[in-house]
Amino acid sequence: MSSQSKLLFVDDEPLILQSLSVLFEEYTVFTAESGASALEILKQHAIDVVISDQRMPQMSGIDFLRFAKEISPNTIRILMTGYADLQAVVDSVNVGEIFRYVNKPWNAEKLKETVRFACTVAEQRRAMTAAKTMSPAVPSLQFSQADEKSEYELLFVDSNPKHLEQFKSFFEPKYKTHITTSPVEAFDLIPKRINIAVVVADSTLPEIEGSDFLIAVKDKYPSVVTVLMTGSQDAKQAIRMINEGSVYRYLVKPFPRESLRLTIESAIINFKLSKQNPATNLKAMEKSFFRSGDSSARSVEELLRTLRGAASARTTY
Amino acid sequence: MLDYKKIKKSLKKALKSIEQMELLEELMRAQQTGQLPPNLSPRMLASEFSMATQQFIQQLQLPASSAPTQSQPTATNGEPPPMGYDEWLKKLQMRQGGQPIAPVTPSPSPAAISSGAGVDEAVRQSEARLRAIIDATPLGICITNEHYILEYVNKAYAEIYGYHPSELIGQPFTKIVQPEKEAFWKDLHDKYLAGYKEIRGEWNTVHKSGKLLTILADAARIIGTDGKPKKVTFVMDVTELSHLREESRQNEVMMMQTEKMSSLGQMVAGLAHEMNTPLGFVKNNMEMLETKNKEMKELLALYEKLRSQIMYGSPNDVAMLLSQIDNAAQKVKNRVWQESDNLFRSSVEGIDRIQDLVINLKNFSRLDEADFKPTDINENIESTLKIAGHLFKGGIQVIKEFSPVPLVQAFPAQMNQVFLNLITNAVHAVDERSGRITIRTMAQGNQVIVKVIDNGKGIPPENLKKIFDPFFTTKPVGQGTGLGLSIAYKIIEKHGGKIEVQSQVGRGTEFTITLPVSGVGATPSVKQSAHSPFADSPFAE
Repeated sequence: MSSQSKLLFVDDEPLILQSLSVLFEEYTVFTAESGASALEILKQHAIDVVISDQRMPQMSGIDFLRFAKEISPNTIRILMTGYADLQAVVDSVNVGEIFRYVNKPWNAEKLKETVRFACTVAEQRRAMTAAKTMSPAVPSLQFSQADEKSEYELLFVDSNPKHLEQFKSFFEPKYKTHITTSPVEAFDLIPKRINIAVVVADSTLPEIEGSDFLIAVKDKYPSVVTVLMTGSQDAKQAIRMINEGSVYRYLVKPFPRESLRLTIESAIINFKLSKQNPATNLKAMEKSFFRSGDSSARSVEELLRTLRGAASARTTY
Repeated sequence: MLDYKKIKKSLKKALKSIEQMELLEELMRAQQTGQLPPNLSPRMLASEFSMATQQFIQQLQLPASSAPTQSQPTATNGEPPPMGYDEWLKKLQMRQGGQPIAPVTPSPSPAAISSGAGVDEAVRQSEARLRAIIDATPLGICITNEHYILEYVNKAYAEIYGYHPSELIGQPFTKIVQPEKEAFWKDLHDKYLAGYKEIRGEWNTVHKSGKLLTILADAARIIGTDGKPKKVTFVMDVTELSHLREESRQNEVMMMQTEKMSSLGQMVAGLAHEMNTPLGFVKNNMEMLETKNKEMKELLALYEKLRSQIMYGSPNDVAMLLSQIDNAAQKVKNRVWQESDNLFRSSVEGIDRIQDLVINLKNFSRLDEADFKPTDINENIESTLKIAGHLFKGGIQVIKEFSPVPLVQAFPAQMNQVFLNLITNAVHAVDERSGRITIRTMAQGNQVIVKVIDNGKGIPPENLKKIFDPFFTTKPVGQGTGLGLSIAYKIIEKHGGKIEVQSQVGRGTEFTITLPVSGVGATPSVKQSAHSPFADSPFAE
């Protein structure tokens, strides 16, 4: 992170912008009172981190962040809002692919630390993209060779064996699909099958909560892409999945088959991308930024205990 | 989160019982105006009842001292009850496990009776018919004499109490009342026969099993063949209905509560954001200024040290301190320092804004005001608009066309609930960018008119007649209980007013509320000093 890092704050409340500009005085700060003018700034400046409010007139924060992702994919996106309504949180993961979700009023130190880390990620991403002048062709979402078996494997964890069978028969033609009702078993399987790219878990599992399980998976195997399926409407859980679990998608049941298929396909692309450009893997970055690989814990339970301790001692969001 | 489907289901059930309750009340009202049962369209029970009693009295050749008058279209002038009378009757029978009522046979025409040879036969036929009617009627009928003895009971009467008629005839009627109230009942009976007490109404009596029953009763005084006064009593078992009524009263409370919670949930979302935004910058400013304050205190400490060093220290020490002071001062004079005046000012502004919201919230809820009082409708709409302010953020235009209006006797909190509901609906109906909501108030004679007009998507005609129905909603599950407008309707009705709607798809919707200044009908009867002024009154009613 350097003082050259450029931040962009978007909020329809000028006093928020004033306050944040002062807090981040050592950065180059841009501010915008609407999504539209923020997009103009994004087009003209290489912004490292953008922090946007959700509830804004004309263009919501999530809509803005979705456009921001297209205009400037290397910019790290943070959503900051005064009220966590579930739909907004879910959309912020699935549509905005945000890095962190921050509640107002915020904690200044935590926010500063979060932005500091986000700037590091953004810088590395940019460096990586610049080094690969022949930027790797992003695999397209078209799957003409649908009948070709992929080298990547999927892992589904659900307490309902019937659902598991459905997932297996739906994906097996293309991906080797592992299924289990036990998160403990699943946790032991991942290191044995190195081609597992995506782990999909239901939120209600025996032994361990699905959200906890995925947080543990992401911590131990940062390259694996995680997807949570949930029937409950819990904004708090969703925020935790974003901030602590770097979850890739948050699927609220029931969902159409097609959206699960698209989720898996784009998760695979995400997996490939992070292999090519490790700076896109936020969890891996986070681990190297904050602590030097202390995941010596063997069992998922043991790991969870360590993670819970770490979560309460977090210095960032 | 609330399980809306489940709540909806249970509320639907509640609604059904409210309908039944209303029917019962209809019946009671009719009874109070001297017409048991009410003269409703099938008039089955009514004609049966009056025919049965009159013929009964005629056949016994007893002069009726007081027989129920032939029912005329009632003075209740109420709307027809939600459930058909026939349907209700059938249900009542089923509940009492009775047979379906035989169709009422018209009474023998006077022509048939007076046509010479057939007189005896006609009388015999008529009597047989009468017996059949009395036995088939779901109304319990009994005759008691001055010694409290049941001289006659029909089948229905015995069935209501779980006895066989033979177990009752010849017994004192007190067999079917609570033993501890025997004296009261005997007294009532005496007074009734003497002609200065009525027994019309609901009473508690006792089933053979000991179960307490609620009955609806009426009576007539007759003089028997023995020349002694008798009492003919007509009884209907309403135990279950009265339970249902109590249940539905509780359910209605729950229903109102659900809608309140749902509106509250939506309001909380908006208000939380409205408050957290100023809290965000105020807190941040304070944290930054706190750090600044510490730095300034350090600087001040250094300065004081310098003072003493100037007096007693070496020039070297002084020079060192001076450079420390320079460094500290440099540190102090960062952006926070430069902006500190602004930061303080905006913090105070933020706190003002939060205070404003809290005041509006209080104004809106009117928690600290009397329930029912002269209410300034314009002021109420103002405070509702403030509380709903976050809804208009997207550029929706609100036009206030207020005229001076007289104070209205009303429950201000309930009025606010209605206004909030109409405004919220309007916001949901209009386009986020080009939406326009006009709120107009005006005085018209003894009435205050409030109009909420939007240029939104409008309501299709097929939905327009349903919008005041409970549970009717076009919003997705979880985004509205479908109760808002039905509750608004009830509230306005309670205030003696009207709420009407006009809408055109694609053009907009216009709601019109008409409120009488006097707030007719809204005055809560319990308020009329029905209670003793003393909390622990020895003078219980």
